This record gives sequence, structure tokens and C-alpha cells, in this order.
Amino acid sequence: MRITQGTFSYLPDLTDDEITAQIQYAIDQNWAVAVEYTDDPHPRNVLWEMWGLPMFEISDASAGLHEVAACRAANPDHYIKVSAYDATLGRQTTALSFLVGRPAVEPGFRLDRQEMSDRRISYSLHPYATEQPRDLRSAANGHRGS
Amino acid sequence: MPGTMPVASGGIHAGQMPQLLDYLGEDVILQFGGGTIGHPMGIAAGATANRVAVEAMIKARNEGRDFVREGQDILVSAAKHCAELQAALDTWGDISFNYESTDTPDVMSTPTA
Amino acid sequence: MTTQDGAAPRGFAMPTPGPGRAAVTGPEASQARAVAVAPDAGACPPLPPEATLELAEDEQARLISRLLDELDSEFIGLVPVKERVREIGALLLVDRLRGRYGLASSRPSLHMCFTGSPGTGKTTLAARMGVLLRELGYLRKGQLVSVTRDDLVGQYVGHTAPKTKEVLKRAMGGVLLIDEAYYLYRPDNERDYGQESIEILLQFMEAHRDDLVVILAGYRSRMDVFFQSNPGMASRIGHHIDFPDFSLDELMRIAELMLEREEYMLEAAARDAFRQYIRLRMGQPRFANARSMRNAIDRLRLRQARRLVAAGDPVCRADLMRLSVSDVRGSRVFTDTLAAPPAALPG
Repeated sequence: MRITQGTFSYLPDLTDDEITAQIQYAIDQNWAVAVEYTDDPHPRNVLWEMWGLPMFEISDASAGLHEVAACRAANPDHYIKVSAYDATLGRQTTALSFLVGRPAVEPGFRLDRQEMSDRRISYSLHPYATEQPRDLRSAANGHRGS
Repeated sequence: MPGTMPVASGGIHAGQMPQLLDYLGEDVILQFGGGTIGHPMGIAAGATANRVAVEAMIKARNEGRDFVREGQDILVSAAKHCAELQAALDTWGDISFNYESTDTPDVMSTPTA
Repeated sequence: MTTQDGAAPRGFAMPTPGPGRAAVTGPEASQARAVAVAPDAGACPPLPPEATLELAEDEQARLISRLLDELDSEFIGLVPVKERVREIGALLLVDRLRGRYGLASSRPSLHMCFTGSPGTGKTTLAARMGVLLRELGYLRKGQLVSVTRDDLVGQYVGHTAPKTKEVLKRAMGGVLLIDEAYYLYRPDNERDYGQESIEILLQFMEAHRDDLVVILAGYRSRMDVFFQSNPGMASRIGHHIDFPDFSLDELMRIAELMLEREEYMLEAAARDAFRQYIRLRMGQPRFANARSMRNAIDRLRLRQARRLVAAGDPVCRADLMRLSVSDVRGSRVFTDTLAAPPAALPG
């Protein structure tokens, strides 16, 4: 299943030109653009791996796209997102965050039900992608180790 | 006092997305009630349609397009990839808010003496 | 709901909190961000082969001639540079005309090498080149990032690559000026990481030809040695431009321009004395062309100030602007003419 996390996740995958346009908009708004990746798509996984530091000093989106391409090449089977941070007082939050890369196969989630006291049920999501230990995940998906 | 967020609610639907974002900005709460549960393909489809509409508008705005003028075109081309949005536009496409205001005064001032 | 006709697109209406910012939505910003994302609104069919186009009426041609006129008036001399800019502008125009006929045109290599003595305008012109190329449409932003070897090369293993890449990312969309680029290559020191930086530069110069223009600057002879040992770098540089030393007349003209900008004026006798000063200074060691003119004018101002303050008389506006012959003659250059002949200048 195609995970729908982040902005534009309900639209068809963005082309490189569209990604460039979004990054350029973020740069024009003086937001700091950063690239992050992960192979754990759990919706509560908010801390992804950083691909380098946020790019505070770029003025052209081609530099951002260069980093996205480098991240894709180094992590071919991971979710990759671009996020832009707005540091102005009163906001100080991520202003834009969208996926720019997905693994070839997205197995999705399982809903786990756990019975607690008083026959109450607590629910949690289990992403199939994290079933293997981290070092074996790429091998399980048929690729060389990360 | 911290800022407040505008809220739009009451008879709004996905086809009005350009105007909603134009009048209220992007920091807004959009409450689609009937526009979600009244969707012919079901409630989840209604939510999908609204989400696709707002994402398409923001994407177009970021790219520099005039989303107010081209709003309908943006929605129609987004609906090509999303059957839910197409159904929403078909169902509610021509509903707008052009009606007589109920807020007009009904008191006629007549000069005395 | 209806929108007002003729209203300029406003972008999302709610202002974001925080210090006021210039509008980044709307027609100007969207033009700058223009990307071939929106569907093509109907490209014109190519012209038939026998149709003719009038160059003189082309708006691009007028833009190019305006840019060249600005270059002419603001920079004295620099004939090879102006010629090259004229050629690049003409190529851009011809490419566009070819496009009208449906002919393909690949983007030329714009990486450059500026060689010349200090003070001949290399850095100033590199900054101007960024703006020029942006106006001509070859670069998106046209900013100048000016670095030397130390900004690119690290001090330990693994330090160079991220350092160089950060600099290159900053420069994307504009011009990267590498001053004294030949210092990147130190063949005698095997622990030197300059070669790694060169390799990364070469990769970027090839892969991002559309996004970045690299300009190397330095002395002619050392640059030649550098290119001999780095043929990869030499082959990527499309334009080798030499910045000749300025002639006496050109230096005089440069000084006059500087004085105009600073709102000073030389009285008639002072002008002749200043001419003599330039001739003498040119023969002395470490002459730095336009920069020496800048320094000379600063010293003239110092002497004028000392003269006015020592005299203590009331002054008017003209007195504060005038540089007298004694201000010029006070220079050590006139008394040092009997000193040893100038040492050989490098390059």
C-alpha cells in the first residue's frame, strides 16, 4: 500500500521538475531544506535518518535536487523525504515536508490488538517493513545490504 | 494572545478549494461535513477527495501558478488521477454561495415629522 | 463565489507571523520560479525554412546591447572580456532564433579562466559575469561565491569532500570564483588533499553545467602549469580570458571614474601631476593596476584632509572636493624615483 505521509502524498509521485519547484519555493521563503530517509514507515516514526545537515546556504533548488539524487543512489530502497523548516519567530516549525522516494515494494501495516484489563483493547500499528532486523532488511527485500 | 486560526465550515465542498484558500489562507481549519459524508463513494472517499483537492492547490501555488484563476483547471486535472475527486466535482461542482444575504436589515427608516 | 476581475493574484491571504518579508508569491516570484511543470500552453510550430527573422527588432538583441553598453561605461579597457561577453550574448540570440525554426541548440560550456596581474578587474568582473549571465538567461540566480584553496581543501582525511560540496551547493545557480586556483594542486606534498577537491570540482563542472559557472583566476604562467598537470580541468574550461595590464590613459580614466564616484575633483595642475605619478608608480614594484589607483586616491584624500585641517581656514563645498597639486606631489613616489629598479613581478 502506498503510504500517505506528508504533503502531496495523495497526489501521484512528484517528478524531478516538480520537486525542484517545491524546493525553490521553500528557498524563496527562507526555509531551511533538509533531506531525510528511513525504511520504517510507521506513522509515529518522526525521527528519520538525516542525509547531511539542513542546507541553510543554498540559493538554487538544483543543489537540493543534487542531494536528493545522492540520497536516492545511496539508499535505493528507503523512503526519502524533503522537509523545509521555517525558523521565523511565531512559527518555528516544519513548513513543508513531502516524500520524494519510496521503496519498490511497500508492504504496509498490520493492526495489532492487545487485550488490556477489563477486556479493553489497545491498538497499535506494526509495519511489515520492520519485521527483519535492520541489517537484514535490504537482504530480505532482495537487495544488497545497506 | 496567541494567534487564532480561521475555520471554514458549513456547506463547503472540494470544488470550492481555490476560493477557500484564497479567502482564508493556508493556516486554516477546513471542516467538510456534508462534503465528506455525502460523497457518493463513501465517507473515506469524501476525505480523500478533499485531501487531494487541497494538496493539488498548494502544489500549484508553490509552483507559482495563479491558483485563483486556474483553480478549476487545477482541480479538473487533479481529478484525472483521483476518481474520488472527480465524483465530488460531479456531485457538487456547480454549487456556489451566490445567494441573497440573510443579513440585510429589514427595517425601513422613515422620516418622522 | 466570484473573484474580482483584474485583481492581481494575491497568494494565500493570511500573513504569516514574524518579521515582515517581501512577497514571495505573485507574478514576480512565480516568474523567477518558472519551471516547465504546467502543461505547455501550445508551443509555436517551427517556422518554414525560407522565412526570415529580423535581428535588429528582437527584444533579446536590445537587451544584449544594453548590457554591453553598461559594461562599456562601467569598466575601462578589458577589451578581450567585452568581446567574449558580446559573443556569448550573440550566441544566446542566435540559439533563440534557431529554436524558432525548430533547430536544436546545446548550451555552450561557460566555465572560464581569468588570467592577469593583480588589480586588473578579475574578481569585479566575475561578480558582474554572474549578473550578466542571469540577465541573458544562462544562470538562474547569478550570485557570486568567491573562494580560495583553503575554502575547498580540508586538513584531514574525509574533510575535503564535504567542504568542497558545501561550497559548490552554495554556488549553484550562480558563479563560483576560485582565486589562485593553481594552489589546489601541490604535487610535492603527497599528504595534500587538493587533488580530491579538483576531482569533485571536475565532476560538478560536468554534471551541473546548466546550474553553475566556475571561474578560475590567477597569474597566467602558473595557470598554464596547472592546466598542463590537470588536462581534465583544462578541457572543461570553455573560455580563457586574459586581463591585460592597463595603459596609462586607462589608469587615468579609471582614477577619474573613482574620483567622480567619491565626489572629488583634481584641479588642472593636479591632473598633470597625477599623470606623472601614475607613470612613476607603474615602474615601481608591486604595482596593482586599478587597486593601486584606489590606494593612491585614498592617500590623496588623507593629504587633502591634513592640508585643510592644518590650514585651519573656513572651507566651502568646493574646497572639500578639490584635490590640489600639493596633495599629489606629497607622494613618496616622486622622491623615491631614484630608488633601485623594480624587482621582477611574478607571472
